[in-house]
Amino acid sequence: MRLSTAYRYEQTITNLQQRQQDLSTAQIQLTSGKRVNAASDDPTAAARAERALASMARSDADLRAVQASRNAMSLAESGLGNAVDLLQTARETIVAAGNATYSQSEREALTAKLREIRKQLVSVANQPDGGGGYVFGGKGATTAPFTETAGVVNFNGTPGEVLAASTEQVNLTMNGEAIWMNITRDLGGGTTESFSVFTALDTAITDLEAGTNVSGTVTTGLARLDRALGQFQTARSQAGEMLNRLDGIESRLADSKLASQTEKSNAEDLDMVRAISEFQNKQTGYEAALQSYASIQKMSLFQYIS
Amino acid sequence: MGSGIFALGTGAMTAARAMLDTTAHNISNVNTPGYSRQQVELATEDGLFTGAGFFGRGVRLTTISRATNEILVKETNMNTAAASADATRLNKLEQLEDVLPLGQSGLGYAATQFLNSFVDVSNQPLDMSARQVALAKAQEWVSRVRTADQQLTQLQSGVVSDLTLNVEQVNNLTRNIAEINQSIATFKGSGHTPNDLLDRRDKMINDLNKLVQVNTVEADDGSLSVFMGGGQLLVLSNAAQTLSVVRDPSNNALGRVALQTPNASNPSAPNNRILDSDQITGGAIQGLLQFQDVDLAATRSDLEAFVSDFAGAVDAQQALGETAPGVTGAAFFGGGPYSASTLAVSLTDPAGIAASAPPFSSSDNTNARNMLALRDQAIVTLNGLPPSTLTDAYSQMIGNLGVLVQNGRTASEISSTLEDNSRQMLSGETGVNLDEEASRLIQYQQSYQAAAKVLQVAQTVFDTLLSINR
Repeated sequence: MRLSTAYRYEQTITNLQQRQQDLSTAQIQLTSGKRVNAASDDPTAAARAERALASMARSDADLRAVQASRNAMSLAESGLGNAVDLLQTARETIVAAGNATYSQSEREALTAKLREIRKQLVSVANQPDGGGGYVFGGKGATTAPFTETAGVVNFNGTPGEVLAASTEQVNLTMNGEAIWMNITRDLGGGTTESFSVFTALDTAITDLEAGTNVSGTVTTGLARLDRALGQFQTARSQAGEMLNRLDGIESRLADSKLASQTEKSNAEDLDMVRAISEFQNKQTGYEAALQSYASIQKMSLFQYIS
Repeated sequence: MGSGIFALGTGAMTAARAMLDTTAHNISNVNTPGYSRQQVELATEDGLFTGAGFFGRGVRLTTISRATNEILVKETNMNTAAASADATRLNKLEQLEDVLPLGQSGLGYAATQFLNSFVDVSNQPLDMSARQVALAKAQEWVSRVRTADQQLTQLQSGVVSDLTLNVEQVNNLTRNIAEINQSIATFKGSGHTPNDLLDRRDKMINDLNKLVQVNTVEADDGSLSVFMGGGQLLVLSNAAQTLSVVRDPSNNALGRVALQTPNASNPSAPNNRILDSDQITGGAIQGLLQFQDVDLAATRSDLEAFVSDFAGAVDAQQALGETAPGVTGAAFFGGGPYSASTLAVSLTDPAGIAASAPPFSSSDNTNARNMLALRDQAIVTLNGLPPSTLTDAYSQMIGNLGVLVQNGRTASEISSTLEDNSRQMLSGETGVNLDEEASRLIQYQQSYQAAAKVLQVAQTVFDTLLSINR
């Protein structure tokens, strides 16, 4: 077949440019470390990488929810621990007040101690969560949820729990009303009484100060405090359980993030070994093209006739 | 007898000289685009009858012909048109790909991060700084949407200005073809082909095919009528039609190719008749129209669907929450209708984020958590697909665009290979090969020398004859 000289040169230039372009593409991939630099490089892989990236961002966000919950639950757990200690002290104090040899003024010294304990219990119940809310605020409280009016402590929040923004159910607050206010005691014969930990102490203090039925007061007071203690222990172990679950959630989130990272890398990252060898192939090809051009352009009949 | 050898020698020299000239012409035009190799056509003069039989009377120059192949020319033109359409479209597609970036610079990621910021709002609903972050993330998403919208608008106006330039070139070419038709027709009676004019016309037809695919029909007078792929006449003999670019009456942003027709009532303002897209079957103009009507339109529609579905879902969720007892949340993004070109964050007060579900409590985070849950809801409906989540929808969008670009690249590779092949075949037949010309040069040089030798011999013979008288 005849070959047109001009076309041959044009073709050579096109080929050289093509090889140069291939080499530059390979170089871009090598320097970026990415096989997929634009969606058209591999649309499926680009879409996979996009989903994996969103999943990574999601794990990070969910982790923040878990951390907030952990923060609140640790506060709740240690708060309830304090409450238990305080109630133990109150219990011992009431037992001591039952001592028949104590005079009224000695008992009043003990009730002063009980008042102090009650005051501390209120402040534990009103423990803030560090972000403007309250650990025992229930479903929502912007001011201290437990307030005292005319010597009676009331719960001002909304009953319930604030949940953290996590796929698994974890709390940002505990239901303060259920823990502190709604304590029930079985009186036998199918009747129950309901009281708060504060009224239990209040009643004990008032009755001890009246000094009429000390032993009855002590028995009732202790029975009530034991119920309250039981309830606090239960709530405390709930918080502890929640902390355990949070550990599990956190490690699952970390696993999921790692899986997403791997997925993203699999989808779009470059196999370096292969890429380097391909780059070298392309380099060799380009060199060969240059050399053949240099030798072919010398070959012309005009070189031999003169 | 003596005059015979002189005439023969002169004829041979003329022929050799003509062939040398033509070879020199070929060598001169080795790099001229569209040039076809020329060749001297020779014939033997009819013999002179004598009693002793026919005496040869030497060589005769019949004409100068050019190497051409009508079928290959047509095939090359066809492939040029297809390759030019695909290359033009690909070039635009590669710019289009930048509109929807991948990864962290993408607007899908920005939308996800906006929703993710509600984790902090729900962690501490009373904390204004967490809400402020959510507003900033919303703004970030909006500005990415606006950037994408601007890029699409710029691409569209680029299409119209490219169309205008291309149509201007088409008009120049068709005018020149009409003129050259006239020149060629005047030589028709001479019995010889005006090779260089024909080359120029073929080149113009090929150039025209780069812009818009055309078919040609040769008339008896040698002029070429030019029709667009769909049959619309562009050049008839020495008259050319004029094309123009007008705005699509149904969408002012789009450009359309129109044919100018005379306006009887106002000759200075001709009428424009918009040509159907199926009239334009190849060339850069077709590539541009396809990009505008298919690729750009699809990406634009995906973007608008994404923006309006996502902004709508956020606004709807916001309206389900409360910012004060009995006060539902005001819209984040203006409440719709949403458009990528006008999208804005209408909420400015961080306290306006309705984190609480009714009944209102300032520390309730139910609605903020529901907002976050939009991540997993199928809220975006892209054209013809079932609703999907935010992330899936954006993945789908970049996947769609990637496939468009990939297909455009493949189409362009195939059609440019076809163009190369046909161009190679055509140039093999019509192009100049310098080695060939070099050997012809020697061949004709020797012919010339031989002819000169004949004249020298003739002179010697004549001298011998004259010397008898001395």
